[in-house]
Amino acid sequence: MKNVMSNRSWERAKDFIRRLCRKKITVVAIVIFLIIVLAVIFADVIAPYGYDDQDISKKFISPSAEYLLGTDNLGRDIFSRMLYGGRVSLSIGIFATLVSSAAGILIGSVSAYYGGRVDNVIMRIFDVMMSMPPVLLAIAIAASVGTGTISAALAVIISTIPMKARLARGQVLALKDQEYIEASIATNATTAQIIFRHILPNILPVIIVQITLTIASSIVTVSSLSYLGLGVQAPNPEWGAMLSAGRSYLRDYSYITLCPGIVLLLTLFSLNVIGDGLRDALDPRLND
Amino acid sequence: MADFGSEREVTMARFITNRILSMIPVLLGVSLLIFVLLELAPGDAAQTILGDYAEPERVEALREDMGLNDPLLVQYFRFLRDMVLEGDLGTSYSTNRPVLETIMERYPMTIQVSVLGVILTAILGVATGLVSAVKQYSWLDNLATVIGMVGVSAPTFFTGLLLIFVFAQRLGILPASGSYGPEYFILPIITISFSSCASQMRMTRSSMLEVMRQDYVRTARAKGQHEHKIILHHELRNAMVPIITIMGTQAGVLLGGAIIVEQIFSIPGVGKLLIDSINARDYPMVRGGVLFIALSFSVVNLLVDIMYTAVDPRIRSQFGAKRKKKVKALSGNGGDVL
Repeated sequence: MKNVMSNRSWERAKDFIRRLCRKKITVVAIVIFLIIVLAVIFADVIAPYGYDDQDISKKFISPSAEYLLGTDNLGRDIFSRMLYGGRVSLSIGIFATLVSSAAGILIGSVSAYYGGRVDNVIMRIFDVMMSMPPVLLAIAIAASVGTGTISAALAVIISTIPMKARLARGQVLALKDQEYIEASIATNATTAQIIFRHILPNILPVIIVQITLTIASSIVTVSSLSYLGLGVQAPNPEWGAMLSAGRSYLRDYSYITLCPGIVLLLTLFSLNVIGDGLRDALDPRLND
Repeated sequence: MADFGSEREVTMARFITNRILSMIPVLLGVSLLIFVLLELAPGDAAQTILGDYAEPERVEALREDMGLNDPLLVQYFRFLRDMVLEGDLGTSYSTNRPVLETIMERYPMTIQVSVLGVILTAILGVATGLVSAVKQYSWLDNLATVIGMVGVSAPTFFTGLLLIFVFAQRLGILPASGSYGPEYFILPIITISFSSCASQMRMTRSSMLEVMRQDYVRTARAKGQHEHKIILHHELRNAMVPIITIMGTQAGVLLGGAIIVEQIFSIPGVGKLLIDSINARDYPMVRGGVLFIALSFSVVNLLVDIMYTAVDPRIRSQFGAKRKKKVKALSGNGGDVL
């Protein structure tokens, strides 16, 4: 029996991968994203210099064999800073997404499941938060919690929760009245069993797509905050902060700004393409 | 017929009034939220005003004088009373001028950039999406799809810097910063609407593709209707609800983007004021800036809701309490809304 099950799930996984790879651009995006993630994880090994190694006598060196992408105004190696900066941007993006999604799904599904006054109060609070443009909400929270890496992550997390909660709530509300949920209530299943066994697996495809896209939007938010000077602070590298620092030298030393900018764009592009591909692959309506 | 029209106007007026009234609790909520957030913020108002080297006694006296020692709720209701009754948003800690006065000077700049951005987004986004859908799988469609994907991904600040680099510094045809004439707004407006244009295009395309397969379109074509009439009248009109939904979302994104764009291009609007005030810990000004941008966003959402009723008679006939649900159901055809 177990063998049959694993066989079937293997078949389903293969089927899913086949559908995911149907579009060439999705495959390209996955490859790009993996390269960036691996480069960032192994920054210690790959980076020829530390992110904060200054050599003021070697400032503004154009890209060369010694300094792959050149050096900035303090003589720091752009390539190394970019790798370490990616570590900060990506880890905040992924961490913030996981925390805000978990919190949002929990709050949203509990709120929808129980309904009534709790649901009403929670949703009104989220209405207020969502009545601000997303960047503004993140900026307001950043103003409150102060600057720095952890504060930036916190601002991204708090500003993302309402959206996640509302999405999860909508999904649960739609599923709540389905017959198979009623059936499991009839078989005396506990609330936790119903939520984890029946409701969550059904909203999982939507959640997976959402998580991919939210990683991208979280990276945008955190790098925007850093660009505005409200997020990650110098000397810590972060893509947005690097762009902000390179702004003054854009005319003559454009590589300081353009290199991290292009990698940032590639990261976001690949995440969005993967998100789109996942949506197509997971959408049962397109199963044929 | 005339009776029906006036009755419709009455329902419409009632709907708009209700909709405006429903903005009040939300805006009160926003003001409370920002009040609490800034209360938690680092720094002490009295210390900020008097400087770092002021004697503790003077700081304490000023705190007492400003009512900063009162409970938070008392302070909030005092702020609310001043705002509602006297239109007073407080006084800036750094310039000592009324917050409202400073914001009103800067506000037209922000609105100008955002509104022009919305217009560009609406025109360009819908037009390209339309062409893309009508010519599905052509090279034009493929190109638009890829540009759209890049556009959706590009963060505002990188787009802005890239445009400055190319058009201001390499080609030297447009100014990079300031606000001294119309030409100074070209790059900021393109920057602010690039991402939104892309989202708008993607939504228009997918919404159009969904509608194009409907039976009534085939019927119209079978009856020998002109192709452009089919596209504009039968297809676009019916694809309009999700398009407007995205327009509303994008207007919010644009208002947020204005904060970043003003920073990049040194445009003296509310957004730049907001960031400068956060850095100076000038919290009354921050509060005012956030409230103004949030208010603008609420007005945009109101306009979007009114537009729904203008394009979709099904929603028009549903002005009652269940209107929202109907809108959601109609716009909930998956795609980019999720």
